[in-house]
Amino acid sequence: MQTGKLLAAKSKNTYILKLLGDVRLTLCCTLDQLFEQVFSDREVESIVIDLSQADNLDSTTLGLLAKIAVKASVAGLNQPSIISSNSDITLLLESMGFRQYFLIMEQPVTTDKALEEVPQLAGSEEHIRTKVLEAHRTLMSMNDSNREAFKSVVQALEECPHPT
Amino acid sequence: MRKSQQEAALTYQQELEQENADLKTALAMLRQDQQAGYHVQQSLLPANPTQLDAYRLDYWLKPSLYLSGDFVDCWAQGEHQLLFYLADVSGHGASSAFVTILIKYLLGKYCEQEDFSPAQLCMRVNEELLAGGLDKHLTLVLGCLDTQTGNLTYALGAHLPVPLLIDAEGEVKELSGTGMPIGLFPDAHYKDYTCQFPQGGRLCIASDGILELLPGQGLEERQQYWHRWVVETGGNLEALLERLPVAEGSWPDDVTLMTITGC
Repeated sequence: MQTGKLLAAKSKNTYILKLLGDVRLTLCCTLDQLFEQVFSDREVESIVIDLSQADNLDSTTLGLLAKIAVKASVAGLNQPSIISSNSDITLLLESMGFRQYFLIMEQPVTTDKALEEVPQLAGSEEHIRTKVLEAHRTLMSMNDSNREAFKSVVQALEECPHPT
Repeated sequence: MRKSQQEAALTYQQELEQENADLKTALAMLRQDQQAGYHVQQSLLPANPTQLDAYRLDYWLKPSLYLSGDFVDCWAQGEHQLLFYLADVSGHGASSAFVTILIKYLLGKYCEQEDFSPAQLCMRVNEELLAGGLDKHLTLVLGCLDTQTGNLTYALGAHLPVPLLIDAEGEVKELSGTGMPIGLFPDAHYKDYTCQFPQGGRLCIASDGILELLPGQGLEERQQYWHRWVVETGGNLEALLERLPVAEGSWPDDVTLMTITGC
């Protein structure tokens, strides 16, 4: 297993964080600084986390990803996306309830060329809104308690003005 | 070699020896410090086994180094309720161990005040951890077993591997339900699940550290192994421990096993 590595890049209005190998974070000070930078950067509208080449994430890393979702929501950014093609990692993310906070996608991003296309994939607010609306509607249709729980979300999304 | 060079080499050697001795002393002090912490944490664990009416709780906890981010606790809530939990705090070592003590304190305090359901307890701990800004989260299995009726109410906080329930015939099934991790998301909701504890049955809970010791590649396969081991051992703690690799040095993560057996 490859030792964990963390790469970061900004492309247009999207911030991309790529995690590779066996990611075990024991010290997060530098990452906290990185976050400060990302969330104070007014140009950043969406965040994409690429886990397609990650083999394993430790609990600290998961905590960190969750923090991104919470911070993004507070900062009024688009729902962050996660690219996970490793079924094990997807299972882990799902067990942690991440699907509620991230748009989890399967497409791997492996080439520089593909990396440039990421903003189009996840940067479109309309696209994400539709996806989220769809997901919440599905959840609502699943049972009564869900219907109550997600009613306000769906309402808010439906009332949300479409980007021009 | 000239005389001055010889002297320089000798001085250098002496300096190195002194530094080596200093390092050894410092290391011994740190180790003693950790060991003292270990003893405090161990003394905060419940009696092993703990018996309440016809149910017995056994556990086994092995820290990765000295201090553990895994923790178990149980106590009699009222006369015939056994409240128990297994918590796995993110990371391991001292920082995670501090959080296990905080959790023990918080849950104890909440349960003294009022009768909270497992889901309500999860929600309160979630709020408290987020408010504390510790940047630590945990996965949790928290249950309350009525020892008179065998009724088990529990909440799950994103815990892996999924706890397993074995009936007297040896049939194993997963505790159903899902839940968010504790201390990550401000709006996390938790749900109380109920089931009947099978007569003469057993509940088997492990922290995810066990998955790193199991054969197989990946989470799914290792969870299947965990399931298989429980089937083959009937969830007997001693038998499960015999299957674990002999510990050499430190383990990658803390490992905890906990069983509740109905007699």
